[in-house]
Amino acid sequence: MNNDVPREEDLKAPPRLIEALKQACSERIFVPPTIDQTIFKAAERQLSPSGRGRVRPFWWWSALTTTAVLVAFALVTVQWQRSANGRFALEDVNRDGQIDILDAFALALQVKQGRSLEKRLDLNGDGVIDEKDVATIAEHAVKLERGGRS
Amino acid sequence: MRTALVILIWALVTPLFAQQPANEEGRASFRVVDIYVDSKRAPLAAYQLKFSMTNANAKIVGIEGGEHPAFREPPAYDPQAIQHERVIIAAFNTGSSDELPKGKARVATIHVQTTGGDALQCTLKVQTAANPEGTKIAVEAQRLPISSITRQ
Repeated sequence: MNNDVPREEDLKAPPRLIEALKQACSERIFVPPTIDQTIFKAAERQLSPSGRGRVRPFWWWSALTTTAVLVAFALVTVQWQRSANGRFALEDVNRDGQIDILDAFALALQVKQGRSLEKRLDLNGDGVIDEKDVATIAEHAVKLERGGRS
Repeated sequence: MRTALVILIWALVTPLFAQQPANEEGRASFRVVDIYVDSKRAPLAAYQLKFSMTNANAKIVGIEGGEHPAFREPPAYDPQAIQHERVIIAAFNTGSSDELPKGKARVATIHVQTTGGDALQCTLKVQTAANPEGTKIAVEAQRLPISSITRQ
């Protein structure tokens, strides 16, 4: 046991310290109004809606970036699917994204008019672009995906 | 001897009467559904339609061309549609405007077989249509069952 440590009931501040503390509390510290105003304006800037508005562009840019990424992904996926099955793209003569009788009709018109046709339109691969290729497109246009059953 | 002959005739005739209700239940009706396309004032150069039947006991048995010379040939269709309930029919004609139908024209006829006495329930949807330049046009499609032939 250390006998030098004073017990709690023995603790007592020196009289001079007590007197000095009393004088300090009685004197009011003067704070200039300009400092008050400066602090108030700084707080107002920090907490006002315009202060929160500074955060908004971040969210806008995030949302915009996310949307752009999703759109790009969708476009790439669609393009990939089309290129994965080149036959579909070839038969889409009028380039409207669908293979229907209008593609056969468009090719038939070109064949009838005797235009020089792209080799890619030789769908049956016989070296000639003619009514047989038109028929190939028409067959595809009316093809039932899962037989005749609905 | 006479009794035996009567019993024999009765034994032969009775099954015929007994089978008659079963034949009536399985009676096959053949119907003709005319397909019309109304292109209003525009000349119709190409069309594609989807015909579906909702009757469980109905099936397509044949498809033929229409009345107008431009579409008298049978339209294109998937052969798998025969003996089933739906079909996509499509046709085109590269003729000039004056050779093509305007307004309402019968472009095809679909032959349907149904069993039982249910009314034919079917839908017809336009998938696409075009004028002689290949430009899409708005058309209306109609179906009209005109006759029913019943076969036992």
